[in-house]
Amino acid sequence: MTSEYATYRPTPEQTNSDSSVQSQPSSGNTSAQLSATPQSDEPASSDTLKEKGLAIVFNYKVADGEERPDSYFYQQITSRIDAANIPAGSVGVPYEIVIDFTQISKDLHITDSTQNFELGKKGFSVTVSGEVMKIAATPRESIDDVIKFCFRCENGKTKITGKDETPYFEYPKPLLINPHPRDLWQNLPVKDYEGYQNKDYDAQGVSVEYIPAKKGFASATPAKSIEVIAASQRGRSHAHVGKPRDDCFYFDFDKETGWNFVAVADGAGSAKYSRKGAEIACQTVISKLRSALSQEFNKTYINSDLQLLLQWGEEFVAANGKLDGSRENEFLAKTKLGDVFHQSVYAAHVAIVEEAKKRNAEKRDDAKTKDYHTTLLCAAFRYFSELSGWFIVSYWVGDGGAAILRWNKTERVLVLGEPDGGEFAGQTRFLTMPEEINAAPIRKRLRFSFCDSFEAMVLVTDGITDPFFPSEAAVVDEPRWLEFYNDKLKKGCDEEKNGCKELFDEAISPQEKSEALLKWLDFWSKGNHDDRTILVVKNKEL
Amino acid sequence: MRRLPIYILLDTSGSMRGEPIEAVRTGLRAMLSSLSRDPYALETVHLSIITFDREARILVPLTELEGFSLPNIEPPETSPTNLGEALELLISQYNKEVIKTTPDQKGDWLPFAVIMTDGGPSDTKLFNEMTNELKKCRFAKIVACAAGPQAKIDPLRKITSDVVSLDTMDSNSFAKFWQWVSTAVSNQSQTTDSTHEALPPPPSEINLVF
Repeated sequence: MTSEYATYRPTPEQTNSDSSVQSQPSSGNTSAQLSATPQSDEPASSDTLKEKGLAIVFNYKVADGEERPDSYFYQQITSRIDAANIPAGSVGVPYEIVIDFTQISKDLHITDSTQNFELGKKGFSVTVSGEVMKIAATPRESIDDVIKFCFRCENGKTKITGKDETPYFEYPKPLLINPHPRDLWQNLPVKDYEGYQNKDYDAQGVSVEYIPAKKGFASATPAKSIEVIAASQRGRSHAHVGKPRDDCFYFDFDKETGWNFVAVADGAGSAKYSRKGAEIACQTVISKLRSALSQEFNKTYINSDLQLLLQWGEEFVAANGKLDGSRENEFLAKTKLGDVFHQSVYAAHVAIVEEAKKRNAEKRDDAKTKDYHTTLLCAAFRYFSELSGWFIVSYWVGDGGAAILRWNKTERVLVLGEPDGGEFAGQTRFLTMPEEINAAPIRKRLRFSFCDSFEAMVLVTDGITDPFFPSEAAVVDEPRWLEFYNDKLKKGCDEEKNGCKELFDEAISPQEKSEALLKWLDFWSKGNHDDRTILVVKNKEL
Repeated sequence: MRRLPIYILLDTSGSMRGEPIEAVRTGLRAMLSSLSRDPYALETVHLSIITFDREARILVPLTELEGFSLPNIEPPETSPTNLGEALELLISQYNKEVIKTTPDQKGDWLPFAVIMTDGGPSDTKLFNEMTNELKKCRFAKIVACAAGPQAKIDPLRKITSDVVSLDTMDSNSFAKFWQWVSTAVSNQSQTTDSTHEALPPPPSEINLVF
């Protein structure tokens, strides 16, 4: 409708009875409920206009001998404004409205009568070139207002009121300039931890140096040193509403046995205590693995477990980097390592079930296991001089991603499992689901990998995979991982604003690196505002 | 990026002409302006408007909220209410526009649909066929609004269990309705894994039909 804001409207009789009115575009106002709105005797001055809306004042001059009434010009000019269909804009994005006033009248002059309009203050420029008007800007601020087009005929006499006054009309159109989403997000403190307090962010880094052991099959000789750098940040969507971070990471290492342990977990957004679920999952699986993979275990079982690998041959290991399906089943059946992992994952699940029961008993708030829904990606790894390489056992349930980059000094990537996703966004699997506790699903998710060397092992939650990996297929795609690692992660941390010249700069302490990583986690990605967690294991001796 | 598709089906039959359709436009504009102040919605919501009178038309295909501008709507003098045809168009647009998650791509959030009519379907046969077809499309929510005293409620119940009615077709009722839809869309845009976000309680101008 053209007339919804018009302050000056011709009467229907005048519109319809005038034979010179040409056929109107479909958006014309012929169907509107028109009424002659009395105008004040004095045309509004540009000073008073400034008080209402974002006025743009124009003069128009009709050709000499122009016989058509001003209702004609009103209709024509307003329908051209309608035809421009003023679009919504966005802060920081170049914006332009072009209004074409050609062929309204032979020799129609439109002149900008004032430069002091409010839109100018908001960074808009209005230019009239011949009979075409351009309103342009790169908006600096959001606007939810109206542009009031004010037209005054310089040389006409109004034929509507019959009075000897300058024909004048105003025509307001809504103008919406959307704010940048980044400016809308709030960072609110957590309103209620409901008994499970955590920090909005976490950043930790350590260097793990192994001293060569003197003897023994499963010794950690020669020394292999690693660095573990991890950071986790509350997502914008949680910060905006004062909800806590549901992501979590945890790592540990045992210098006696040579085993290292890493884990990340992502508590489900819809589960109210999921941050506790994520924490229990990471800590339980690692503490169980650490106590099970004891010096005793190394002596008793690792020997025979590794013999099996050696028996399959180094060539096999070098070619694949991991066990294929049938070998994996055989390894699981014959070795103790699979059992240990199975029990540890199971223990994590049980610990969460127990926590729900405990909370229910203490607080009587009907806490259920599903209130603690969480994903889990974890790995235990160790260097074996007997294999002249690293042996990595991993487990992955839910979304996110885990991979070993540049193994054996190649551009190859070992992806440590498969993501679980549904047909639509936001559907995944959780450690805490009853169907995930059985032996088959746990064992199906275990991976055994080997490499002589690797550059980095990376574990991330979906707050990282969503913006950088466009699909589930991409999360298991080697080139995608390399692109993420080289172009996003290493270069991202390279930027000066992140306060870390080089994530892999040996002059910087692991703790400083983790803080740089935390700053990197603040990257902007439209529509991706989940919690973000990343854990990087760097092999220091390549 | 995962989008939250919102389909709006608007009755533009003759009886909506004049004040009612203007009130609907004003309400829709207020909704756009309010959604664009919500960072969740601004980043994810994509809107499409389908109008129906003697035929169903795509007034706006699925477009992101940033840059969405509301076109003029001009109902014809008199016309039937071809809601069946509108549902047919909705299903075809759904199949064309909504991205499902496959191994190679990340899908949209489950779409949301709002249907507003002040009458009842004139194309009954097609309507009945299409209500069955529509069940094959997964939506987070379909809200049907029977506006004014002439609106038929029973056909809408074949589409969805979430039917509301407006006693009057004045600008206040429409404003309240679209405000309520805006809240529902905002809530939906904040969920990360739930597919059945409950509708917010409606204001007194909106009657829930059970």
